[in-house]
Amino acid sequence: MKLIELKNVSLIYNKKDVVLNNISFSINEGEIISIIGENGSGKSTLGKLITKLIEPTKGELFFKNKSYSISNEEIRKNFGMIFQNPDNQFIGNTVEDDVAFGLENRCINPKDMPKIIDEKLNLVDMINYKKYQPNLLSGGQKQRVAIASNIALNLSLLIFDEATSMLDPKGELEVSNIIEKLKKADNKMTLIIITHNMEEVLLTNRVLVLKDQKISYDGKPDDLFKNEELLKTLNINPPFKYELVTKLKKAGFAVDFNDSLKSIKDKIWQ
Amino acid sequence: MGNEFVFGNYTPYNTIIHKIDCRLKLFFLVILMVAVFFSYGTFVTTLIIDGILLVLISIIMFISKIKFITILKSLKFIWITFLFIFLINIFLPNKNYITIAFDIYGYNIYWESILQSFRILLRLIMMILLTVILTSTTKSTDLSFALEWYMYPLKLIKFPVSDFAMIISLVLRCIPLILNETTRIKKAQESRGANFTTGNIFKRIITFTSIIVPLLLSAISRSLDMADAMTIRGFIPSKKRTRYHIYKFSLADLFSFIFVSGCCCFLFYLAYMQFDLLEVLFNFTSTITVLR
Repeated sequence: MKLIELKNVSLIYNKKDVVLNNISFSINEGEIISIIGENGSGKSTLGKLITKLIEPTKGELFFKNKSYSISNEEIRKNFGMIFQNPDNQFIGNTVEDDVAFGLENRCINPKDMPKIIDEKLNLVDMINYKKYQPNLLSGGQKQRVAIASNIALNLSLLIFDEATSMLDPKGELEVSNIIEKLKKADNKMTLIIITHNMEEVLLTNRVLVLKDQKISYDGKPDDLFKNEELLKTLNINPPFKYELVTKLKKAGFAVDFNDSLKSIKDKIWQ
Repeated sequence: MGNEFVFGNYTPYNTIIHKIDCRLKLFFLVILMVAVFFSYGTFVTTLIIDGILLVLISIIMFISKIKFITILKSLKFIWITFLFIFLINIFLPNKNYITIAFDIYGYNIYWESILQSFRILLRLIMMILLTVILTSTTKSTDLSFALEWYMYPLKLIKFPVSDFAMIISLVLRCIPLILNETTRIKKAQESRGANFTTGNIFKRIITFTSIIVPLLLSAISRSLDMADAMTIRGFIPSKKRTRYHIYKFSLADLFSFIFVSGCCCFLFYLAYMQFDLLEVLFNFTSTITVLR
């Protein structure tokens, strides 16, 4: 079933600066997709449009086949977003207060809150930091708290807006592990990962490439990264493994994209 | 990561001061500030009372595990302002001042003005210390609740009480972030050759604009991001919300209320009577000597 559908959506600032031009696509329930593109291509704007933090200039958005606008609170309750800067989304004074913030806004009974908070902090491995303040946490830990704060709200769709771009490699790995956990979770939340990191694209089943204010590619990440010509046209650097296999193939090695890094290494030694 | 004390930041200890109800702490802050700002008769009496208040504040700080030195370090940017206020008050002319202390090129500096400046400075420091005690022992969300609780009657005239309380809470939450940002920008500008330590005052003020402009832009960007993060988590201004923490007055709250209110009532009485404490003490000792 279609969870989100965008029909001919455009966003134009000051009547002349086109950010997104006539975009149409749909996202199914439980799907995990990534959105990539150069800086200023409108990736984050697209995320904000879907969650209705901003309104499009033209076009319509549908949630489960029902059109929705910025004032439609009941539908917006289904969306969550993890932002780039971990400091700017920490509202509470401690980890538990931050997770509680969203629950308080949704008027959840205070008696039910501790159970929900503990459960979600457990999921992101932050239960031991429950009483910690933001200044005592690393960037990766703060992003994990932000994820817990969002998923505590029983969302249908969670958007990661370059959530790992301000983190060190350890923090990146922590967030990627949580994404993997969410993929395996029972409730099958739809995930959109907006990123510059091609390794993160491999966590998803579908990738959208934004170029020149339009969607230039919509398909499987594997198909995109295997297509050297397309990668050149879209100005995308493939993940390490794909780049390695392409170069080895050109050098005459009998390697394949499906091979693991270990088997590639073995084939080179042979 | 860092666990150093930052001005305005909550420090999560489990002391008696931390446990006192946030509404009471806000009330104590107000009445203690009033006590700090009262005049208690003569200069000497006022200075003695100020000294007593400073000791009381230091004891509260000790119990709350707030280190005086770390506050002084985090206030290093304000010292210039303190010095400015001190000097302005020394040089401000007043007809009631009579005891000349120094004569600087025909301009008289009076002992009264020095004492008065010292007192103003002491008041400011005590005011800051009291605020630090409140903010470092009370979470900003609790403070927001306390403000909302006191301003509840204003809801009758449709004043957006909860929004106002949320703004205050977020401001307090952002103070350490802005201070960190200031240090970061200052270091970045220094690495590009900006000099904040030498040169005359005007030159330094001009150099400081290289901190203020990016700081302002970053604060605006941060506030926009924060607004988005709050909206996405369902925050709608003036909309009803539930509370994670349930606030109830305890027996310790009652005792603290009796103690602080008692102290403040005594100080208000002294301020009302305008005693000369030295004279009272002198008369008291003389009476004892006569009786002996």
